[in-house]
Amino acid sequence: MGGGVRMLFQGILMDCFQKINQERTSSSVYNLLIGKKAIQTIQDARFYHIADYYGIYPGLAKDDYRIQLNQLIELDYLREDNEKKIQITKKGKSWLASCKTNLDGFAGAKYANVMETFKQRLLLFIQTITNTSKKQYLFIPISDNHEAEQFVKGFYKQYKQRSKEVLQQLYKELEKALSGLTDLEASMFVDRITSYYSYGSSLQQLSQDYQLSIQDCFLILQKGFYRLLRVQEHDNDYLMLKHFTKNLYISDTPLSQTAQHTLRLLQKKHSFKEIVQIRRLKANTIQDHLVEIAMHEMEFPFFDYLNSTIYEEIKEVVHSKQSYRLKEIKNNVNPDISYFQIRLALVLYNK
Amino acid sequence: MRIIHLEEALYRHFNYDFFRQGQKEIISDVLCGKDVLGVLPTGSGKSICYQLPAKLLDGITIVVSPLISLMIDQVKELKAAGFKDVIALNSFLPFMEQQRALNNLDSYRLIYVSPEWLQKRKHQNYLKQLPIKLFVVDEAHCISQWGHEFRPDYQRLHEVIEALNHPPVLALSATATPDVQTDIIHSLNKPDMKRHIYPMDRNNIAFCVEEVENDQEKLDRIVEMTKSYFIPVLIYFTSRQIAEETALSLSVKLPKRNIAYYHGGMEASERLRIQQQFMNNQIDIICCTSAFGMGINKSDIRLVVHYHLPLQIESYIQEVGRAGRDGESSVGVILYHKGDFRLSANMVKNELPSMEVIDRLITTILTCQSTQVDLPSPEQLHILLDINEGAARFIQRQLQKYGLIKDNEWFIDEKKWKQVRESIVQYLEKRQLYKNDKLNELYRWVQTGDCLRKTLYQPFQDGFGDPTDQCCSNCGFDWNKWVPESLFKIPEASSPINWRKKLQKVLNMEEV
Repeated sequence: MGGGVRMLFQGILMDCFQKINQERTSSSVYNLLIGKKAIQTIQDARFYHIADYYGIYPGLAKDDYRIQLNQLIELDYLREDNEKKIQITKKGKSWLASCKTNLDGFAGAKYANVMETFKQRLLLFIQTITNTSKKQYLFIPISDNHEAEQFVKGFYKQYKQRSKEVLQQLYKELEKALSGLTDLEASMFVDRITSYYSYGSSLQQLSQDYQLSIQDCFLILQKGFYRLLRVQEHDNDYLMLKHFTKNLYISDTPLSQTAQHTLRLLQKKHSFKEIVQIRRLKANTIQDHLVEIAMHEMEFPFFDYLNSTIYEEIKEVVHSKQSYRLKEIKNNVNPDISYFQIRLALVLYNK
Repeated sequence: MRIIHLEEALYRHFNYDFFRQGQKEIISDVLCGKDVLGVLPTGSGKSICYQLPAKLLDGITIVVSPLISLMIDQVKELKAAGFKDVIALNSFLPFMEQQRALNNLDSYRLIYVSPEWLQKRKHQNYLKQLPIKLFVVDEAHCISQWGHEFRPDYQRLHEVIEALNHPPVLALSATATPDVQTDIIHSLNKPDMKRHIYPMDRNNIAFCVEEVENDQEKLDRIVEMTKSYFIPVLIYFTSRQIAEETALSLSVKLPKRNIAYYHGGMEASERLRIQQQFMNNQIDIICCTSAFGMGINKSDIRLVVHYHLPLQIESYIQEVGRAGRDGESSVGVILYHKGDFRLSANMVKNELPSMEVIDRLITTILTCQSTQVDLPSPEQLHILLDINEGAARFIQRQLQKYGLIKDNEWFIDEKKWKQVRESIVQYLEKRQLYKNDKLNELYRWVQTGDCLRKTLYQPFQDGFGDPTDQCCSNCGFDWNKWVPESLFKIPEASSPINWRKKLQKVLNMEEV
């Protein structure tokens, strides 16, 4: 067990703060990890190239996050300034450089809409098929999720006659996919699986068995699932795994429900003013939606809201100040340029 | 009328070959439409008394159950056992699911509800549309203020029963003294209720009390006891943190055993894993709080240790009753030292609010109202006051009772408060005295020199059955003579490198 795995959670925090480079408060990274569907969080994920960590730890408790952060501050890897912004120290940088390779393997933003459902479907299916193939039809399912239950029911009906074959294929695919991980990561993933008369380990148990923190265990498991999602998308050998993503929409980042509503109005060629009226929302809120839409949609009419002079001016400041901080940019451009325009310009700049 | 062979139905629906004591008598009366009070010992299969009728009656059975987690566990188990048309309704159900359920209530046979859920007029209106053939009050001792788990919402059940046009009522409890039984019948307003009272003593459990000097000695004793017995063990704690810490220290001292902890602070899915591993004998020792055990049907738990005692005898009987449900010889051990009483007394104190806290709350609210500052809702009051949830619930109920809280809104004015304050003071004192008495009763029992079996069951019944094995430490318990069957194999050490082998095993491919 290398130091890299042991410090996965801390490593991710450090990586985020290094990339954000003192431009955001500590809670921005918390929001990123839990996958908050706020426009600011989604924008941060993009701008600072930390989208891979978006939503990788949905259940993370704020207290646990703060404890880790304080530890890193105590170690003098990070420093918190008066505005609650976090800065990485020299000591922190060299520590991070030594464990960097282990931080790969996440694809949070990409699979944000898919991950939980995929996980539950797969695990519930394994529990179901391993039990029924042993003629055990009564067991307590690991997941109460209605959608996953329905999915597994349908899938199971289709394959119950060929359970032996299915298990073999599943083994083949899992074995191949997990071989791309370290033995420790693969082993932990297998220990978590619930099957016939063998309930998978809890996080506390994994933490004890592998002598790693609970957070590191959770993240290592997540890494395993991201690996499965990736291989089934890029390689045709994973027919079984592919099946578990059926009807799930893989997008770069999730578009919130309310922004989708605004998008539909936009597509019907309503003007900004009309949209504000129709939706009875504040202009600010609709602007938030537009920025969100601008990030997702291939064709967004940026220049309905900007002109090229404004865009060039903003770009100039980003270059000279080496910063994405809205306030800093705002202070250095023509006062007539709005925050909304700056945000749109930044989206365009990163496209 | 159709003649039902109950044994046959029992086998067909639940796969049991025969009824346990009391079940058949209660079920027969229930099927005849009588109102029944059933008092059966813990672990004797109380739930079959309404689950089988639910299958046989031509209509719907409603079960009021005080603990949401217990309710959810039971529904899960029933579903796993093939009883599909069952649902649990409570305030934790997501809105959409609740709506879906409410619109399809007639498609269920068995509906579990929490007492709070049942109080809502809207919910009652849904139930009124249904052909309800049986109304079950589970853990009926919660009705009585002299029961150890008094729940004020239970006292309003007679209103609900009336609103539902008096379906037959079945009240069940495992721990109801004669006083409590009378209270139940009175509160439900069913004077003709038929009583089926069965002795609650468990003749296959031996009781041992061991006094030690300190907590370290408790740990040492547990290690000694569990080292030589490879059997399923439960160890009860009142503190989540100490349960966790002890599980970890035991794991270090007993590296060949599988030890886990379990408490209400854990995430539901993680709790389920531990529970099921214990059922499958993947774990042999669990350090837990009182959150563990309800709704768990593991019949071969051999040893129940109390590292901490609960706060009254009834809870102890319930917890130790999880041992030996299969009738085989089992042991309940209490480890205690002189400092424990103070710890328990403190917990009792914190279960109720002090009058100063209530006064402070009222002052705060009155000030907020006059200065038009936003108030947290009554349901949030434990956050406002930083007191435990039990104490907060006490305040809520009292203020509700006098109309100072209505529908989760404050209705407080100074005049009204002055009128009711004295009644609340008196009631609070009464409850404090009662809880202290219960605690003293428990510790008197622990310290008695008399037979532990005899004194434990005395408040509940006359006499008790002869123990099938040894009786108790006061009658001379000898560990050397206790030889339960060993269950566990020593787990093989596995290294991460062998994950492929594990994966094969997990996917039923070990033959390959």
